[in-house]
Amino acid sequence: MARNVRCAAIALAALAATACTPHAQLASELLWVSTFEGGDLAEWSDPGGGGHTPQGAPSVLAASTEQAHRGRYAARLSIVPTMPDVQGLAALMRKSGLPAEAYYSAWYYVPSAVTIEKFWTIFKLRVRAVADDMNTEAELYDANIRSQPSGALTFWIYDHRIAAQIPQQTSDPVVPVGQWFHVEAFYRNAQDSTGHATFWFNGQLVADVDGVAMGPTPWVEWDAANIGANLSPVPVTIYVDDAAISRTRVGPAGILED
Amino acid sequence: MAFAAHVASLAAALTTASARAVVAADAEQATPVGQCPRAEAVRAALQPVVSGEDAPAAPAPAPAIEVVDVGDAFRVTVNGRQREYRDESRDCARRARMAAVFAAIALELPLPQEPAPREAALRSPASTPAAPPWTATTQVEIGPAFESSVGASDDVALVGASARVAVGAGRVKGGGGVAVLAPGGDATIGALTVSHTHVPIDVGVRVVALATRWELSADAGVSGGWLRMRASGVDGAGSATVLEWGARAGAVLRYRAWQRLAPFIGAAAQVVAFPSDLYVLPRGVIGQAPRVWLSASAGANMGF
Repeated sequence: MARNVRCAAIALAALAATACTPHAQLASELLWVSTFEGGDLAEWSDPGGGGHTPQGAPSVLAASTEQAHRGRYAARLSIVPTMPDVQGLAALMRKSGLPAEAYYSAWYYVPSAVTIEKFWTIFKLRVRAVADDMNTEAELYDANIRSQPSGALTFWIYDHRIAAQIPQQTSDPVVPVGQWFHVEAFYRNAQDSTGHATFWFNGQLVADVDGVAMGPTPWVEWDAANIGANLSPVPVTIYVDDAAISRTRVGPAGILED
Repeated sequence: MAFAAHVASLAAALTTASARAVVAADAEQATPVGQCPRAEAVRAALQPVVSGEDAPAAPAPAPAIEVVDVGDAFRVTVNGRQREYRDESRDCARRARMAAVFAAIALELPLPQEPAPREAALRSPASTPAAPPWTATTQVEIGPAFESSVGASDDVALVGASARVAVGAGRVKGGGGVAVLAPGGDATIGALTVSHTHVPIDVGVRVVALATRWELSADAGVSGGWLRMRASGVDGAGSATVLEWGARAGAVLRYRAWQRLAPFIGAAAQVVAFPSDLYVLPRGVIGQAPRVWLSASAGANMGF
């Protein structure tokens, strides 16, 4: 409304056909959005059911103005996995109260090339064997990055239940360094054969798992993360921005706010 | 016959006074503006009052009478009593009859009991009903209205009421209008069902053309509007309000059936300069609000 008033005022004052197209938002199918424009990570905790870890050195997880997909802020996730086979972890988490079916998405930025000798995960879907028992949490799907012999970084999906990579519709999409890229998943957490998980990388279908049971309970956790082991050089930093949980697909062209 | 004598005196006075009047400049004009009605026509209009009898010349002094043509009106002055009649159609015969009747009334002539002479004076030769004087400087039009969109993502139909005001005595008036229109049906934009509520307003000028009882007006001006759209059909649907502005043009046809009241019909088009983009998060723009509104209205025009 305020924007429209401004548009009308500007146009009338100018008495000219200046381009000032007002917008009218008729609906929002977004369930939750994080743009970090508050300059902190509070969006991941409010409303309740999320959080972030860790909160201290050597890993760093904080809102930052060093990079931003839109606006001024993004989240900076830095890890220092210096010990062999010991993972570093910095994760933004949404858990509890998530719908049985939704689209999860975020924009990522890898500022410099990374050599991955073990694993590097940036996006996770998790489950609980007992919905109200946090000690029963387990992994389901990871969206990972790996190094190719050429040095290029590529994107792939790992299924913890089969301890293997999901067959991909698009093989080894390249993760750009120094550019924002979009990762999105559709996840229907059904306990019967109607379960469904689909992953997109920059809008391109990467993997699709349909017709299988997913989590053992309706409980869902989604993480935008920087988790890895045997990475170099350290610290390994990524930026996350414009994360969303939506009833409909967001895609790289999706709009999160007016 | 006192009545006949007075009329004869009046006719004689008119011959002199009116002949002077028709060439006299209006007080506010530098030159004469016309000869409608002519003195002969006014005098002829008085003749039926005499009822065909030869009347002797009146011994009394002739009354001062002036009939001044001021274009789309004429002014009659009888012994200092003045009356101006609007007559944009410049019907000279009708003007003559009206001037004669005013003169007779102003001089308080003992008109005959039978109405025939006066009615004859008011009746046109072809027995066409004369339009009543239309001297209102403020006109108000009120009535139901219908509105439809052009250039929107889907057809929008609205019904409601409109009111317009025109102020001014000449052919060019100033004025404006407002309407309140509610959904007559819902529009479908993508997966959304959208109902519109529209309150357009405008200010501008009205140019009037007159043909006896029929009056045709053309309106033009700047317009604005308050447009509320309420969406449904998907989870998370809501409503949005935008302010729009642009230009409006329209036409109104009135039939002056009564002194102060005339039924009218009108139609107009409002062009919105920058119609709003309609969007849904996160999908983005799914359509556009109407670029052109077409409206129609009918009702009563009241003059004050």
